[in-house]
Amino acid sequence: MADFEFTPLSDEAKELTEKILRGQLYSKLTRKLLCACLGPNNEDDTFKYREECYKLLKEHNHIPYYPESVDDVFISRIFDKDQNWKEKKEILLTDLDLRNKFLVSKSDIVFILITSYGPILEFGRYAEIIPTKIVVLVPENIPSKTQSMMAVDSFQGLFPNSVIKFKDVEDMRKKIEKCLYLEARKRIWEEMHDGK
Amino acid sequence: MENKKINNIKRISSLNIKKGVSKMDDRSTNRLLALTDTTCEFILAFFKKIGRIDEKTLLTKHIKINKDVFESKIDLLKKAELINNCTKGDMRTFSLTSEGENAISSLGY
Repeated sequence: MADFEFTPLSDEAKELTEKILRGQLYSKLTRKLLCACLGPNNEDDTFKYREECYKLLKEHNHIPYYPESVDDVFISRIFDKDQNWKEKKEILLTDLDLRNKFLVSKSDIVFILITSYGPILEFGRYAEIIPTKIVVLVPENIPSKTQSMMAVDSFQGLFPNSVIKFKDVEDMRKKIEKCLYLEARKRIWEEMHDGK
Repeated sequence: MENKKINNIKRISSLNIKKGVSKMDDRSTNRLLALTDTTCEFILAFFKKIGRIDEKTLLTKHIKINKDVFESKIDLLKKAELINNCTKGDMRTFSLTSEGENAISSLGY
């Protein structure tokens, strides 16, 4: 994160500045996020963005996954081990749709790269059930008047922090990094708040 | 399968509540920039702590900051729709919008 571009003068300002520093450091050091990476499959030209998103999350020590390639070990890892968890796991391993819904409901962030019709259907499926977890990734060169973009546009009207439009891979990486930082801060705050 | 596709399109269309939001990239990008900028975070948190504040008090009593930097941060926060400012005579007064209030609260202030 950037350094402060001001000098605090009053006691209130000094105290707040210290609080910001502590919050930033804590979120960098402690929080691992479970992140779904949805979007076009590897036959699509734009898969590279999805792959890059996955790589970036790994680099930052978060837990990314492609829903289509998770195995039972991965599912076991994120399962709440209640008394029926083995039976539930069996069901999830045989029903792909249910499994994907389960995975995204457990995730901290669901990144969806929207470049074609397939991902827009996934977006439609999840936007209704977990709208606050979704972060839509859209390359800037997608024409704005397509049906996909109109849906994203509307979604952004309702959830203004949830759409990332990017110029290239580098731009996308920078914006995702900011997004991860914000999410980690929010999660820490929610956990502390729940604990009170 | 076809029915499933139609249902998904209906769901997407049902999201189309707020018409006329055309600058989606600007709005999201500005928020992302503002909420992850240390100085902007300070300004938002300070406004939340202190309530409405005038420019002169902020810049003489609480922080020392380059005028151009300050203007650029205020401009970004306004574009991101996180703060308001109103001017009476030559006095500018700042306050959080309700969205600014929510955003800074979600970061723990």
